[in-house]
Amino acid sequence: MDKITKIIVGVIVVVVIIWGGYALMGKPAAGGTITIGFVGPLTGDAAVYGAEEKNAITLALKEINEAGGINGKTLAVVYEDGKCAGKDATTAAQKLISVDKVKVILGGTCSGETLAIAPIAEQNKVIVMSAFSSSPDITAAGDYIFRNSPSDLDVAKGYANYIVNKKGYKNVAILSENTEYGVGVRKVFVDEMNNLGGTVTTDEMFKQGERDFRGMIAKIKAANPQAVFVNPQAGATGGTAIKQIREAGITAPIFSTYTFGGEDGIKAAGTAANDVVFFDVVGLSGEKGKALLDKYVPIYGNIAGNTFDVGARYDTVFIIAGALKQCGEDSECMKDYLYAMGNYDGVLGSYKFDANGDVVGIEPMTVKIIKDGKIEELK
Amino acid sequence: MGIIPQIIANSIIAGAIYALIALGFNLIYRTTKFFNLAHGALTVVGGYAMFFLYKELGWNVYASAVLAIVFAGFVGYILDKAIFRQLRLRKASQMVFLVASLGLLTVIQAIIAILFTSQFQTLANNSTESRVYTIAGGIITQTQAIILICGIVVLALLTLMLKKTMFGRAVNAVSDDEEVSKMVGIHTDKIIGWVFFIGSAIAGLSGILVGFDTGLEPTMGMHLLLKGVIAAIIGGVGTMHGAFAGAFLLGFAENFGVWQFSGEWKDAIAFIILIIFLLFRPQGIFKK
Amino acid sequence: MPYLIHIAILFFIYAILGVGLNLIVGYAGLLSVTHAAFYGIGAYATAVALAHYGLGFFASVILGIVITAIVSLLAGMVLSKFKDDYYALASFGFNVIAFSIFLNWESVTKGPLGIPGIDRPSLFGFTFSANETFLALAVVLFGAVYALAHFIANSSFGRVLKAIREDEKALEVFGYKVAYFKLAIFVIGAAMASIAGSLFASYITYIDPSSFSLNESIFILAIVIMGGLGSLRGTLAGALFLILLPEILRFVGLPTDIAAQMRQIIYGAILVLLMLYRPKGFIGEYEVK
Repeated sequence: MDKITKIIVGVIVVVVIIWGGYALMGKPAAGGTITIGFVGPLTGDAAVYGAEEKNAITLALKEINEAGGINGKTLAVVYEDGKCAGKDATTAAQKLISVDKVKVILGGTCSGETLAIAPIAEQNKVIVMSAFSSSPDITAAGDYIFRNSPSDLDVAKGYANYIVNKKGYKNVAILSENTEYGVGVRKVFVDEMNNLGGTVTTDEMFKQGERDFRGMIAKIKAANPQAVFVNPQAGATGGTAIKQIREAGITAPIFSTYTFGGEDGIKAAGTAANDVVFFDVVGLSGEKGKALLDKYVPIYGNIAGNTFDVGARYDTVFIIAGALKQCGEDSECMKDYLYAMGNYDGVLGSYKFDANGDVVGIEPMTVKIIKDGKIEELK
Repeated sequence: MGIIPQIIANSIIAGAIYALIALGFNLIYRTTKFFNLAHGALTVVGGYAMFFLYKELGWNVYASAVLAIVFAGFVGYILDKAIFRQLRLRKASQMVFLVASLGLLTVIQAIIAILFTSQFQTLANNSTESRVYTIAGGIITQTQAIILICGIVVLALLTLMLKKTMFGRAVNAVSDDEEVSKMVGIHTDKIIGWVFFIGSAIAGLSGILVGFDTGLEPTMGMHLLLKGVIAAIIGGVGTMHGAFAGAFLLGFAENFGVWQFSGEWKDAIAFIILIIFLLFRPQGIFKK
Repeated sequence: MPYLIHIAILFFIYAILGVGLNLIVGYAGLLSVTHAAFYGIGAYATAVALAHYGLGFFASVILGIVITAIVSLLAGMVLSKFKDDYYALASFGFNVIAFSIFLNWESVTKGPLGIPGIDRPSLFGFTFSANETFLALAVVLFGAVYALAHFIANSSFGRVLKAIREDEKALEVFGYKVAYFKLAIFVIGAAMASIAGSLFASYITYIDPSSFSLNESIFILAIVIMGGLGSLRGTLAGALFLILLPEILRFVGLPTDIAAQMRQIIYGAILVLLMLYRPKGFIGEYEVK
């Protein structure tokens, strides 16, 4: 090997040794701190959700620690980037479990992250609590896997019900994003529409991050639906689709989901957002919810991703704190505690976990409408 | 039958965007003979420069646009001077240029993401409804009409420049044979520098227009570029009207494809068209 | 320690990918940017076989290789009509098409929902569920792949490939069926990627299409170029570097939103610098002239 190569190899070797040693030794455990982990998309397309979950956790930690922490010990969180991808989420979880030695992981945000982390967490008896993953596959993901976000199965049925029964629109077009959330909702929605005797006039899917929906919208317009259901995963994508739907001259009412109902979505849709009705999974509309918003918004600004996500994640920190107070870092004890937990009064309402670790007791949805760029509740 | 005019309109709109990118890319390719992936980054540079001046600083829309376009051109010029020229000196191969331009695309996108966050941004003024025009049964918005007009104007200007001006003839000479041009006394490096400036400025313009139509994201460069490259190749890489034709063909293929099949296959359709052309008519629609 | 084992497993998976691609790009000079597609086929073959049909891991690896061989044969035949930049661009196309299939063929791949619950491999009753044992399996498979690559590189077949890379026309004059050689190495490299895919699927136990996009192909290409075309040892160095880079940055403690972008900047800058000053890569033999 010539000189330059030797130097490069040498640098790599040195780096590996130093970092390996550091990783092996682990960080000295601060005696008065309990550390838990977080895995979520801090970069990439879904970064807005991960970043806002992190904000919610920071807020919750502050309150918990100011109130005395966990039996006197400070609660701390190590944040790792899952990038909304299985491989990265796994690496992140591995690092948290073996280097930071956490017994609880708040995460993932995307279902792909949660599903990838689940096996390692199960193997290591680490509690995983998601606030936003909605894939039906998570129900069976493991004993240590919990979530306070409802499964797509329950939620999408409610959407179809509302549009057909409450509003009387039988012919509906659906435009879905071809990602885990969009696909999950679409399947249940279409099935339920058929069950209720409605017709899906057009069923189109677009790739993640698509910006040109005009071809699909032309098809939708030609079939003349009574209503259009826009089913995106990201607000900006959904907003752009809604803008183009109106530009195409479709006047039928538009419905969407909570993934659209944040600042990104409204900004992208512009004036087309007016009168769009979307289904939010339980507003932060109760007292506790409003109180959280009053605390959150002055520090972090308006929620651009999703308010449910922020609220749910905020709740999870307190729920876990409760488990920690009862059990210390004994994860088996915490697991039993969580299953046996009576109704928890959180920002999302009053709820608990069922035998699968799924959430029970949250209203599947509340209905909201956008007026002049502002979100309002629709009774 | 009512849907066909709209599909045609959509095809034209898509084609117009691809055409702008293809034109800029083509200009640089015919002169330097390499696939400059960094071209995609310049669309993002233009778009965000506009965002900064128009939305964040609040300057006048036309002034901001001109400045942003010039800035994009300038960045392209610097890239050539600092990096591509060195590679040309060493007679580097296609692969080297390709990889280097890929590296630059990555770096520029990341820098913009740091400066402006990876959040979606839109240049449009969303408090007023966009004006729409109905032409022969198809609806297009004001922004889209502007994109189309820009595409035609740029094509016209480029063709004129290349055919009629001294500069244009020098560019043609360098495109045909760099060595010979040098011998004849043409300052090839300077000409190429200007080519980069113009090509990158066009890219910047594309970025701004896309920003108005559908919005900005730091990662949009690669995708726009790939479509532009496909358009340039199927149209006949190296010829200006080829890039234009190829772009509209691509737009039509994609939109009619979406109509017959489904929206998810749009990208795959674009590449299948490319491969078909490469297999059966690699020189593209218009031969050089 | 488990963290290091995890990184090591990822390293060996990417090393297999890199070695396979190096044979194609470095030795034969074919600028293929679609390697992730074959990686994906192997992964999905294993995922579907294990999760839905209860087949064994090793049987699924064979299945993956067979499917990949057929697909890469067809792809290789089409690609062989192109040169240089056009080859690269057409291969981009294949990756995009393959990705679209992974994403949209929901009945088989479950699309974006992905396939969870893939078992770890088992052999004669022993299951590789502990990461340490899986690492051993990964090392063994890597060893086999590397040995094969090394053998090919140093055989007369390998010499012909290098000669093709340097001057294709000359070889045709001498009567060598250049097209067959290029096709053969393309299929071999693709089959190696398939093995890596099977390992990946069984290790993470959950896969979805996002791991097999164009970006992934570009990443694998970067490993090969940084390490040095035509040098198998170089590919190992390249893989080591690119796997470690994000992990090191993780520990440096940059604010996380900046960290990922910093990684992209370093990665892109290295590519540019290498092309400017050291196109051989870290330990390259083939000077990308």
